[in-house]
Amino acid sequence: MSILRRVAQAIPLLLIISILVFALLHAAPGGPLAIYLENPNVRPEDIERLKRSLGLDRSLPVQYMAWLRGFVTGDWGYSFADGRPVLTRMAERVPATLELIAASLIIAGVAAVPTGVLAAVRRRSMFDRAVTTLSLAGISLPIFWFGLLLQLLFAVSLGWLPSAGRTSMLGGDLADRLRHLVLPAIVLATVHAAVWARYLRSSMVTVLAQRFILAAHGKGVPPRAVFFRHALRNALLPFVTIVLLDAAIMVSGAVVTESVFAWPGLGGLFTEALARRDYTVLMAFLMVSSVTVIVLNLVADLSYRFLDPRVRA
Amino acid sequence: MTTGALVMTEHHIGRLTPSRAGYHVATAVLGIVVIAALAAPLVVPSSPDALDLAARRAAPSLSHWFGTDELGRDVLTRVLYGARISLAIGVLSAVISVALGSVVGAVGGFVGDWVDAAFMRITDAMLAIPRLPFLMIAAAILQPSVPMLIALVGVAGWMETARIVRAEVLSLAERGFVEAARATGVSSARILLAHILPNVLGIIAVSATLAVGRGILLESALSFFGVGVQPPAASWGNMLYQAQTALSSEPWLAIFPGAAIFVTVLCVNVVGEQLAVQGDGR
Repeated sequence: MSILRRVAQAIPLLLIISILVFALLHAAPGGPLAIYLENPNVRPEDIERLKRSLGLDRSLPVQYMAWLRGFVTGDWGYSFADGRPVLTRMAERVPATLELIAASLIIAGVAAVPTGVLAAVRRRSMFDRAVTTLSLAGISLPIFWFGLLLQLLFAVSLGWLPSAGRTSMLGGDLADRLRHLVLPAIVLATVHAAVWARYLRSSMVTVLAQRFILAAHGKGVPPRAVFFRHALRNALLPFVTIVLLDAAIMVSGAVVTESVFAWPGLGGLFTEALARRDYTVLMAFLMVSSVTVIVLNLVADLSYRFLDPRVRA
Repeated sequence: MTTGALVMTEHHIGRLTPSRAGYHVATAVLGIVVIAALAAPLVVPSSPDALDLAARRAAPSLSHWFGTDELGRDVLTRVLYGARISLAIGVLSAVISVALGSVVGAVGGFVGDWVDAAFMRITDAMLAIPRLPFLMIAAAILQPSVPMLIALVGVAGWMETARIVRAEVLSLAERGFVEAARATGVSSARILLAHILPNVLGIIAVSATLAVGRGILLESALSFFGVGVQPPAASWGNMLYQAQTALSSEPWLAIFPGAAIFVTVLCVNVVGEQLAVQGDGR
């Protein structure tokens, strides 16, 4: 019952988002036809014909409904840049972005989980302070600058890793792909690792201060078992939801990272489209990334209910 | 996930306690940055657009501490003048964000009912739209001047404040002193302004500080993609935009403006953390 209600709550959200995105598209000078207006070879009567054929002479609410229907049914219009369907252009970029996000999630997890937990256990130690400082630094990093610095150090100065792309011109074997993946994945992972370490630390501190931990110690459970079975398990529960939420945020975070490293994913497509004012692609990206946030929020919420019996009641 | 919010934000995430020393260092550094930016003409001799054609693409040296760019403009000078624009956008956009967010949060939380429900759904929806791509598109469409950029970044950043102010107003509205005021016939508007609002100011201050850091980062990202502050005016972000093409030959063009962003935002965040810790009384 409450699950159905939770799903139903997402629908008005998606409608509000679609209205905002639609409004933004029409705020563009010339609206969806902007690209033709600047072209001297396109005559005014052609513009009129295009307007009629695309339905742009109809009232805004009617246009909105048509656009929304198109979006839901996978008809996302055509890219101004090369005339191909937006859906096709985006679909071919998805694997690269998923690869990058998966690698970043793994790196962020490996970096954040042990440090966050250890900082909580050794609270107020030197290590805790270092983690605190580093995580604040991580959230304050302008990630495009961080990307440039890593390129400078590891690609330009040391020559250890490639500075851009997903594969070498002739390469493409696993080792080559991994070498290309390292830097962008680290850059995309950094902010999230910082946030996760903070989160885990505070979540672990809260759990460790609770009475059932004291009770477990009191009844003679070995410290190791108290730590893993009682404390860590409870601290990691809410963490699962954070990981899901951040995976959604990474889709848009990839815009910056992919641009700096010329990574051929959705984010790279977005910046290419931005440079060419390819509005249909830009709007589709905005819709897709917003819907991803809403959907993963929903999944996070539901999985939390599933994992934690106390919330289910 | 106990807040009932549909989209999570940084405010749901536990805080750390930075050391007092860190807080003092951060305040001092911020003070220096702000003063140096305001007093830029006194700190550096030349104007940000002054060309030194004899010393183009010069590496950092005693005469040019941060080096020069492809036109022979002094990078330190441009970082200082750029600070004026970057800080102004950070601070003023934060003012707009926090003002909007406080009104939405306070009215929603205080009035409740369908007004609150509507406000919160709009807040959730705005939070779900990725902020940077949204701003990049809006900036590409509007080709904004600096004041316009401030408005854009401000309008895109009120949601976090709205949420925490609403939560605080909701909890305050049930407290005894509010009930007492209501019982003695104080009007709703006065209860909100004179009794509730002063108690929310601490939270608003924390939110404002975080918004300043976010605003600086957003400006730099927009300018980095060429849709923010337009050359020849210098901002930290557009200096990095111009630095990209010569990254391997003139790395100082990228290192210093980026370091300015990083250090400033870090200090702002340290101050914000400290304010939050003090406010919590923890």
